[in-house]
Amino acid sequence: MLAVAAASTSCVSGASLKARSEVIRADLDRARRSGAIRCAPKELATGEANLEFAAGELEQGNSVRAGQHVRDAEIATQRALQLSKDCGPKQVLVREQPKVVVRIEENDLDGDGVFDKDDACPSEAGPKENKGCPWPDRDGDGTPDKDDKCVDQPGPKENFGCPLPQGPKDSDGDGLIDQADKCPNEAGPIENLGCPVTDRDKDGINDKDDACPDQPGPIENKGCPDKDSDGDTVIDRLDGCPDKPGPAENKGCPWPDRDGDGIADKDDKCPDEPGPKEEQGCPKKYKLVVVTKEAIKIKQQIKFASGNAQIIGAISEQLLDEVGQALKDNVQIKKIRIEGHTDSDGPDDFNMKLSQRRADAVMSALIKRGVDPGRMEAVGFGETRPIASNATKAGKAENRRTEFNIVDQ
Amino acid sequence: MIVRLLVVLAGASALAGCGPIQSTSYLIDAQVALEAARTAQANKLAPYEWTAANLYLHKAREEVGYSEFEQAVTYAAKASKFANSARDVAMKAVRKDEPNPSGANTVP
Repeated sequence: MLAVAAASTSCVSGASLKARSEVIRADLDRARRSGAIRCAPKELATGEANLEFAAGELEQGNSVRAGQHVRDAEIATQRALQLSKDCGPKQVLVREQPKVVVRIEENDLDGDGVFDKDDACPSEAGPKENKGCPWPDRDGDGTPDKDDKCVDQPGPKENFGCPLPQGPKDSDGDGLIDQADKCPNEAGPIENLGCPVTDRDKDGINDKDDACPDQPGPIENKGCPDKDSDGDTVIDRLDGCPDKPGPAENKGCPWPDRDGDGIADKDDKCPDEPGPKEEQGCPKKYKLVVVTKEAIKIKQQIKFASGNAQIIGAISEQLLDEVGQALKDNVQIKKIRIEGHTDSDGPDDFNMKLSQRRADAVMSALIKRGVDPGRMEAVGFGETRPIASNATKAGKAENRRTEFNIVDQ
Repeated sequence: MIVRLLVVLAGASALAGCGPIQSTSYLIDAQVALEAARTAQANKLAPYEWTAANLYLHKAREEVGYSEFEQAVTYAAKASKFANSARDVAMKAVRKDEPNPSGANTVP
């Protein structure tokens, strides 16, 4: 029982001694680095020797003797550390002929000029006055607390570590202070009161001022695209006649055409008389007909067989040829009325029917000559519209006539 | 009679083993080395080595007392080594302190 207890104690003691030995070894190393071999040689030797003796005794199982050596080693080591504390860095100047060599025997890991043995913070550079440790700087502004008037607020050194006084705030950094900025959280030019310029259609007009923000258009038209109602390529706002097509030279208005022959007055040699283009707007010269504003006048009369509607005589054919041609040449004449008239001889009813048949015959003859039937109508007036006296032979001859009156142009 | 005594001594010596003899030899060597160091003023000029040499010699004697001859030999050998080193260091220190004919000197 006792043997077991002793063995147990010995085992526990042995482990403890080994641990203490490790501590002593570390201290001895430190003492040696601090120069104990110069300042405390006896203590250093005593510590090291006793440490070895302790190890030897432990190997042999003599923990009691080992313990005594450990104690001796501890005392000697502590003494060595104490003596070497002020051993100080030794600079040995070896003067050889002819140059001088300086050898520094101490380490300074952080390079702050304080040797590691005296440096409370050997891995951090700091002034000698703070035992080689950096001065504390709670707010991390680079100004140590001892010189910092605002230790908890970072600030530049020039302001003794205090934050600089704040000017007016400009949250979006657009150069306009928030109080004057219509959009304080969105950067924008001063012209837009500090708000960002949005221009979806890229026409250079801000959307808020653009009547058509999605369609590009000039500012004159409030950002909307220009219209051209009459399709003459002259936009409405520049078009003197937005509903009538006209050339740009005439501000979008059609050139005037007094005689309505389709040739503008400026190009019409006869602006008051309709005429085909090949005659430069002047009436074509016909031998047997004359085109006026009101009618196509024939210089001679179309002749019919007595009592019926048959057209006779070569001159009648020539007259019809020229009337047909005149209608083709003067496209502005949209409609003519072919009128048949008689004298007063014979019954009125007969005369009315005869004049109608004769007007129809003339219309048929013109249709045969290629005139559009839609441009013509045939009306028989009988003896109702005399132009001369039916009392004389000459007057009756005048009343028997065919007229080509323009009803639409 | 003398012959018989010698035979008995030799036999006794053989029975006891060669440990004590060997350790004694090492102890004597260490003692001699230590004396040489003392002569060289190692106790002043090489205090580290001098102290270590004395401690190891003392421990070697102690181990002999416990009949730990092997350990005693080890310590005695170390004592000799430290004693020789102490002597060398002391002698070097003496030579360094002597006037240097070339003019070189040491400044602390």
